Amino acid sequence: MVTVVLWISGVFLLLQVALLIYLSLMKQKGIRTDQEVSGVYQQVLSPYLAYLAGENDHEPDLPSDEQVRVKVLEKLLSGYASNIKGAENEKRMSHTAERFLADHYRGILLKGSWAERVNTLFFIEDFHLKTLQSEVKKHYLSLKDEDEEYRQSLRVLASFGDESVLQVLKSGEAISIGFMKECLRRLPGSSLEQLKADQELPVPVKLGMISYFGETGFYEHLPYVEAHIQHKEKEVRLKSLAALCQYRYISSADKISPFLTSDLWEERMYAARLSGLLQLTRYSTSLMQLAGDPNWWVRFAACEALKQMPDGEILLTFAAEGHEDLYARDMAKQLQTLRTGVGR
Amino acid sequence: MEWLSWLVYTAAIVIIIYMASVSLLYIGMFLVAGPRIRKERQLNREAHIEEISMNKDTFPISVLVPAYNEEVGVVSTARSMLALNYPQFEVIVIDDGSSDRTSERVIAEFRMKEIDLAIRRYFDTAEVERAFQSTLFPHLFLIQKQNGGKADALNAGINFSKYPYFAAIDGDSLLDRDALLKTMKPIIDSNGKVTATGGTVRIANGSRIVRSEVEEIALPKTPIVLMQIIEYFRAFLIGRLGLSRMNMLLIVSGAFGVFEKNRVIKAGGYKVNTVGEDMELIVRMHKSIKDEQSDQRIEYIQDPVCWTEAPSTVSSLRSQRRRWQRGLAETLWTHKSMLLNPKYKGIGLFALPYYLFVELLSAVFELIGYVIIIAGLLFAFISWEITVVMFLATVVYGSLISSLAVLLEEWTYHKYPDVKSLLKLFGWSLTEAFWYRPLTVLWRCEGLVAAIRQKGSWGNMQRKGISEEEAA
Repeated sequence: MVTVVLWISGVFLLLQVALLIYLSLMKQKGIRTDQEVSGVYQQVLSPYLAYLAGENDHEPDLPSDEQVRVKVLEKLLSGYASNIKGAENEKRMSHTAERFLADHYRGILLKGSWAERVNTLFFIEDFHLKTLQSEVKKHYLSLKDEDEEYRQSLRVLASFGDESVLQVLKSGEAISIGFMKECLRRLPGSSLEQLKADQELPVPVKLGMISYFGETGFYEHLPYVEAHIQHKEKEVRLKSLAALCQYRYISSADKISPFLTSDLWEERMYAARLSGLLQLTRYSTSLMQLAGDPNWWVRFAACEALKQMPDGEILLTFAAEGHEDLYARDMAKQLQTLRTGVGR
Repeated sequence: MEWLSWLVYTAAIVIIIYMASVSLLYIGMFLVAGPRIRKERQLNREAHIEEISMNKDTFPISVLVPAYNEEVGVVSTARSMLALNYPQFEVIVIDDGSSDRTSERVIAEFRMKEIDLAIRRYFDTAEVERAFQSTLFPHLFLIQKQNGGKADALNAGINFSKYPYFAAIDGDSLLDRDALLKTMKPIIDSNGKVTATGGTVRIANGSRIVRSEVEEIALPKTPIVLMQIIEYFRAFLIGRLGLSRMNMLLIVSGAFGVFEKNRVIKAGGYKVNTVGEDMELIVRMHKSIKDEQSDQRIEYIQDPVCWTEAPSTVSSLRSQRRRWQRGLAETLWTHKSMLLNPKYKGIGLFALPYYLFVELLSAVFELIGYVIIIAGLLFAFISWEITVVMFLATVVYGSLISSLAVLLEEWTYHKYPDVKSLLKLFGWSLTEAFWYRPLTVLWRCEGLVAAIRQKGSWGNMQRKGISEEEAA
């Protein structure tokens, strides 16, 4: 028995020592490669940026070792991509990426590991490698799991304005609103118009669109948002009210009035918030009532709205001292001292 | 004396089988965790979170920092929270009746102004006396309350907070700038199906931390801290990832975790009269999820996102381990009805028994094992063969599994900058069974006794402060 246990422990230890030696060697190699990449990067950074910006026609030499060359270029172009604006600069960057990286990325999409493929998809998007659109689409269609690789493939396709993204959105597949907005942000204006015109859009897509429109603040989408505040679905109405708060606009103040007395606390809250943002003094009395609402969030929104009115300080003082509801007095006192609308 | 010899012999065999089984279980969990680690090993994590960092509707979070006598580190922690890369969040420091200058330090540093209170009461807590808002950073708040313990402070923080998710963080911990983004990502990607997440906690001792940011990762010189680093690798890389993959994660570290506020409210908030409130809450959340037949999950993310100061003296480590063991025992006792209960599926049938037999009772098994080895050597109670086998089982169970965790860390994150650090960690991990493990086993047994006798204290650690600027 002792011999068996000794053997098992010994083999386990030997395997680990072998693994230690392997990892140590790999670590040493990795450190060397990183140093080489860093050295080359420092060397070519300025001349390459000048070349990419069109200030210099001579393209600096890059290392012949493919691994180092790819890493240096990815580092260079990633930094460049996050700082440039303008079609001409983007074109030069994409052109460079296409010459040096496109074949490498094609290979990775076919044979790389999961992490390598995902990283590559991020780079394809960053470097606007539109020549790889068909490969990305083919790759997307071959995916079975709806994980990060699936999501990033769709993001890339959306940034290329690929129709398949619209099909995914319209199909009502179970994707999160956040992710839907990520796609919407990338899609061209024509695709958004196509979605807006579709009367049969699933509710989650409507939610994503309305939320996205509120976020952008583009007035061309405002009528679409406003048209949905009467929607039969509660979530759509709430998203529209939230988007209007972001727009800080409503075409007619009368439209707010029914929500101030809604049975849903969320609607009362958004209506109060919107009244404050638009400084609708005609609703001051309603807001004063809502300051004593049974729901904490409505009380908070109502007092915050009162504070935003031209005579807000007086209204809050009145509420803090004389409101018939004890909770309203507490909330008004808090709002007198609290700085609001400044959350990160 | 024959019966005594028979008894010792039987105990020795039981312990050998136990240790061999647990070692196999660890290796099994390593095999479960392995594919996930392998899959994400080379992932570009910055690109991975880039999108949600810009997403304006990424769920807003309230960051809760309970602080009791944390005057040394509280400012540094608050500053690290303020520097977080996240679209919308608030930071709430909860001074739990400190007797030192915790509040004064925060008020002065961040130029705070008192605000009136109109708090919701999801939970009853010790009285909240005052609240302050920073005039420099309007999303930074301080609430002062009467002492009620960490759990009570967190409940008060939940009452005060305004966002739908909250992060609970220890007053002596630092977060990486992207910690909230990385920890929230599973929640965002799952559209709320994931209800709580915990990230990997790392030990900051030895690393260079300037102005609340880890600038250079390095190993500490003290062996007792080095061993804790190795221990954390094992716990997080093998234990938690393995359990999380099976949706059976029972611990989201008290040092840092993110929770959906509604789920915590439904579960009843933090339990105040226990020392293991972090684990106890997670077990109750699992219970609430299963009782509702909800498909929500609690997940662990592999990224090292939180840095904490480990005890660097024997007495503070002893105190911490006794507290942990007591907390674990109390949690298991509180939820004994879930144990082996098929209604709670994996939690009842695997996770809770695992924590009972491996995490809690292993201390007792190991202590008996050490006694038998020593007694066997000194008094020849049992054959030398049994003594040798027990000794080897102990080494495999402790040292070899730990060294495997060190290798796993190097394979995945290789955070330490040179080969020397890897060799040092590996070397020290092989010594575990000879000094560190017996010590911790002894302290855990003390904790178990304290739990049975319902005794013990919080055993607060004397903080040195881990940020250079703080120490200056």
